[in-house]
Amino acid sequence: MTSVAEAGRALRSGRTSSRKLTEASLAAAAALDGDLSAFVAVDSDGALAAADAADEAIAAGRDLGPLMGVPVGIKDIVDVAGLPTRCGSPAYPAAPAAADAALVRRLRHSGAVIVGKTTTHELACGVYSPPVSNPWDLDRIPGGSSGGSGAAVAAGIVPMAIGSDTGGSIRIPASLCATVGLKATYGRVSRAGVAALAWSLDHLGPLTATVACAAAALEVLAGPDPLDPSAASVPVPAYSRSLDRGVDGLRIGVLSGAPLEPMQPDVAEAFAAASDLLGGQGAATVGVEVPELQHGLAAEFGIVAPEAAAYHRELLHSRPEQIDPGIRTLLVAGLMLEPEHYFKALQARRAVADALRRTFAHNRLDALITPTLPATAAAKDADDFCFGDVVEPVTLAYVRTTGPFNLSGLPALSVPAGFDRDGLPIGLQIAARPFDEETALRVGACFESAAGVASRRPPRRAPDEYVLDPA
Amino acid sequence: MNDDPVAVAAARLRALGLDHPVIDPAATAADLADRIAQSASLDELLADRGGLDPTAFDPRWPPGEDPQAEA
Repeated sequence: MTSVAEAGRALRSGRTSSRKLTEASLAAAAALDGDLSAFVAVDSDGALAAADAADEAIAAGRDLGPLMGVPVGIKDIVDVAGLPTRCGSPAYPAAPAAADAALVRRLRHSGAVIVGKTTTHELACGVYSPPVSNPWDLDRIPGGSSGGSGAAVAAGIVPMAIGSDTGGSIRIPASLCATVGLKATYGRVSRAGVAALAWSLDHLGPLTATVACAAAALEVLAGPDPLDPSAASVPVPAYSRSLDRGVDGLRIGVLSGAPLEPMQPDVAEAFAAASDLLGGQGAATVGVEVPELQHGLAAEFGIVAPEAAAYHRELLHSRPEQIDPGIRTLLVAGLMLEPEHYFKALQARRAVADALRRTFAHNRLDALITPTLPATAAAKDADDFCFGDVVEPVTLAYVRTTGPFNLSGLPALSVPAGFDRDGLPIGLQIAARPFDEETALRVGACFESAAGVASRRPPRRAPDEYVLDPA
Repeated sequence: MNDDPVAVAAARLRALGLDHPVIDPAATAADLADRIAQSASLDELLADRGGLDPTAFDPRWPPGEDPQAEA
């Protein structure tokens, strides 16, 4: 899998050009997307024009940063001027967006090459992302809702793609597809120009081939935005500079109990190994429990339903038959429930956030680790997981470990941590204090380097020569 | 007053302009009951927080929070 750093080195040394990288990416999309369905739109002309512009900038000695000339994908809830934003829904118009979302403007200014729009679960509200297939097993789901982004990065079509995350929608596909996924602190990345699911829980961020890619991406994406009042005016560090500092001296909480149980035995084994590995690298690992997190799902869905219903109210009234029945039920409930339930869920969010904050403070933690998910990729036709005698819907199983970090707004990174007995990826989630993505990335980079699992590649992937032509 | 939850759901759907053939009042009533039960499960978490007080939501969160300040 080619990283942003590799691409950048090759570009700046003249070993390749952005046009070659982009042509390779477009060729990979054409060759693989029949199986993967990772893209809903590929903009060959626009991408090649952007690539030529990047090559001209390089030739002129201008350096726009680490994403210059690098092909990227954009989840199809994010406006890209000239392309429709369909949100995975037949109810959304095919008319092209008039303007770029704020984060797309940032990407363009940094010289990134937008290859196309990646498939999302309908309305960014689900973990299956049909019809996308997982590159590790085409009969398995890629996760969601940013499933197309996860599949595209895992298959090596692009080294980076944008996702959104309301209850885990960046980290779930990252974990299931063995990519890195970063949900930064709430307010770190502008949401302007992006369709909402639940505005007080929605985050934007990258899915990438490596932790270094994620650091480079966040340096471009993060920052205040007058069009998004939640976008925070907090300094944006040079994340890439901290990646090689290791974990010696850091205190890392190792979560147990709720909401991790039940989980698959292979996941538990990989998580224990990950904790041991970080300890072996010099971190002080501290076992912690946060019982309040058992209420995370109730708080999460108590907020998502009314906020999503408010956002999609017109669609629900005018074209309910065009909405997936499960999502329609959620939206109807959101309009019908009394406001007290929403306020109670908001208050519960505060309680969950306070509990996490106390855990960090009382244990003097720099980071907190969990398995990203309690289970690996479900079969496409599976509704439930069976954890021994416990039967649990796939969606709830995935969201219970990721959702608490949407409720709290804390930054959370997923990195590949191993594989189960069927060869399916397992992820490690690394959370940190508000606006301390630097530490999450630092821990992730150390783990990635020491664990050595990131080099394993899925059966369905772009040939290396597609992505980086050494000639 | 009708206490049949399906009839209540149907009336509420009509009032909201959602009486559409694809929206089933019986399924809606069942789903609402599940969600209200889920909401009730939060009472335990909130028992020590003074009950239902919407003002307890802090609009400053999360920007600017520094958990280390509590250490």
